[in-house]
Amino acid sequence: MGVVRFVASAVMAALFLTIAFAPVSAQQSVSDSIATAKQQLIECFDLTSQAEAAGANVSSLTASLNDVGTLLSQSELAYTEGDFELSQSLSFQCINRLANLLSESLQIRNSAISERSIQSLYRVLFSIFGTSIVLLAGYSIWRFLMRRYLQVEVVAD
Amino acid sequence: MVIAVTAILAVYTATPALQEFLVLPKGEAFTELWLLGPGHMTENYPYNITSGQSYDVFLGVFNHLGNVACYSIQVKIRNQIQSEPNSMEHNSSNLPVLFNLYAVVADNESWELPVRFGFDYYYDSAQSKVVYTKFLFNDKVLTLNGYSTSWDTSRSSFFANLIFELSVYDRGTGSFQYHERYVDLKFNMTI
Repeated sequence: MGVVRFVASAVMAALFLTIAFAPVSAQQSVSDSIATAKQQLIECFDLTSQAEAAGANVSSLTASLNDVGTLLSQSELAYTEGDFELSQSLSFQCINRLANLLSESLQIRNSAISERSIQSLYRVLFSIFGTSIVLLAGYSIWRFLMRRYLQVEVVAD
Repeated sequence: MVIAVTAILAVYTATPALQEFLVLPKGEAFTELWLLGPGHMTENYPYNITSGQSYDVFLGVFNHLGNVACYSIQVKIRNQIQSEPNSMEHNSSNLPVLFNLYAVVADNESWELPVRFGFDYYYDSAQSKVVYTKFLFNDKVLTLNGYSTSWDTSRSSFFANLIFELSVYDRGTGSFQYHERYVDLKFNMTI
């Protein structure tokens, strides 16, 4: 009889603890997913920034990031209001969209960087080549004119 | 003459290569933050507020920082005795943030958000106070606890101030930092 009472008490205590701490863990889980979404937004922004620095057009990426930003704001607002279910759902939407955006921005950044390095190489090579031709042509013209004027001077003497 | 022409042409053809190595100074880096009235002009801003009514304004940002920026706009409400942002001391208000808006804006591009807002409040005649219960912002409702305003004798109104403070993500600190820009709306809460 004592054992049965002990088991019943233990089950009751376990149930009580589960019910008492469930909202706290749910709240923590929502808070974590909001933090994850925010972190991923920043990571995606960093990649977008690098893509822009490499010369890529990032308008479509920023438009998508702004949509995610709106969702994140709404998720935070729902969290403040205690609507954890809605907040969780919105933050998961953010995370899912950011996962796609992260790979897209990574791809745009990488292609922009490789395109830029090829363009830079061509620009430097053509520029050096062009400058060399200009210098050579200038030198040739200068020599040609010097010889001609020097000869004229000699004839005149 | 030939040397001068050659030198000019050489500098001209060398410019693309030089651009790859020279770092030219940038112009002044700053961000524009604006608030426009319902007609998308700097006029007809809402002032006399009625409980349960909604009002329209436009909030905008233009990025002149020279690179893409991630902004956070913090929305706050204050009365006449609470902390306000200070342009001279470059301080933001120390009031709690009601919520954040996020915007990622490319260089030389703008971001604009149509804002529809409103308040639910009642007049507490015993304490001669306007007590806020809800704040509506773009179809989202936020419960306001502990927000109230007393009669402001200098303004002859129940004064309220809706503030939008701009922060920008700083890679150095890895956090949003106050960007020393804010816009606000001042209201008379009618009873």
